[in-house]
Amino acid sequence: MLKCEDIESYLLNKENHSEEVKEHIKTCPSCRLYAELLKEQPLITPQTSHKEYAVNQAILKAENLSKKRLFHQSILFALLALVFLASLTIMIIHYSWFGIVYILLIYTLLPLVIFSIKRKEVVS
Amino acid sequence: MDETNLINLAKQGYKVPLDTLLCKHYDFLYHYLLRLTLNKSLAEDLCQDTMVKAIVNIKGFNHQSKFSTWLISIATNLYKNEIRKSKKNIPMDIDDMANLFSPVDTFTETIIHKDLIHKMVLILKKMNPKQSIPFILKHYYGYDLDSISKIMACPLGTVKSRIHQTIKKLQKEMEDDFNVKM
Repeated sequence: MLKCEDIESYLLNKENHSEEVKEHIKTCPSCRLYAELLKEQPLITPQTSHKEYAVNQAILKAENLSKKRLFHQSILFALLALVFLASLTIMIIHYSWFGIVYILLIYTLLPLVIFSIKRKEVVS
Repeated sequence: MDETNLINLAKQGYKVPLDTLLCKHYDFLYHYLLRLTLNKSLAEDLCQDTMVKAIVNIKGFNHQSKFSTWLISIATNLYKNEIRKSKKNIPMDIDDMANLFSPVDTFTETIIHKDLIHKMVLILKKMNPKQSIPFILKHYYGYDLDSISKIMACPLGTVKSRIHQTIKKLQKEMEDDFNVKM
């Protein structure tokens, strides 16, 4: 019968696991969690060289940074959409055609300006 | 697999080619930063930051320059930012500066040679990075002036004058200290 301590060495050292190991991972919640964690993160063992470790860390850091950036962008987009809809609704309620055109114009030009700035942005 | 294919695969989001690409350039990048900072821990930190920036912006890499040159330009900008942020001299923790700057094949291990290089590194360290970096890129790494102007994001004439000023300053200080006619 396999123990949890044995599973770790199997998970770290072998690519193809036996049926017994697979069965244990299915039934034991902590081993299943550990296996999932190893799937998500690149395998970093004590044998890994300093260079590989640094590169792996950089990749992980970049992934986290991209996720954060995506989250912030989606929040910003949602806020902009909310402001756009709110102001458009107010203008429609007050029958201000000039206001409606003005808002539509701003929200058409805004993404174009942001896009052109991003294109010019030098990686620094 | 050649570098262009590795870059194209990395751009598509494959991790293994990205890993291979960065591992291939890690030593080059680390030693470049070590020569700029003369501080191991700072060089390691900046190296990692450079790689993170490169990974995040790899889709923007347009093959107009070599991948290593692109990495060096990111690293140089990060080093300049670091100096601007810290507002004081970065402490040195490298003992053997002569070995760090000596080309392996032409290096003659004499005390005078070592002393000269040691002195030169100290003078470079004291200088503004805007002056010392073009000198290191030209005379240690052999980059042409066009590439240096792209890396430093400044006009060609500025690069030329900065290198000239650095050489003049080095000559003057070396003459004063060693009575060596340059």
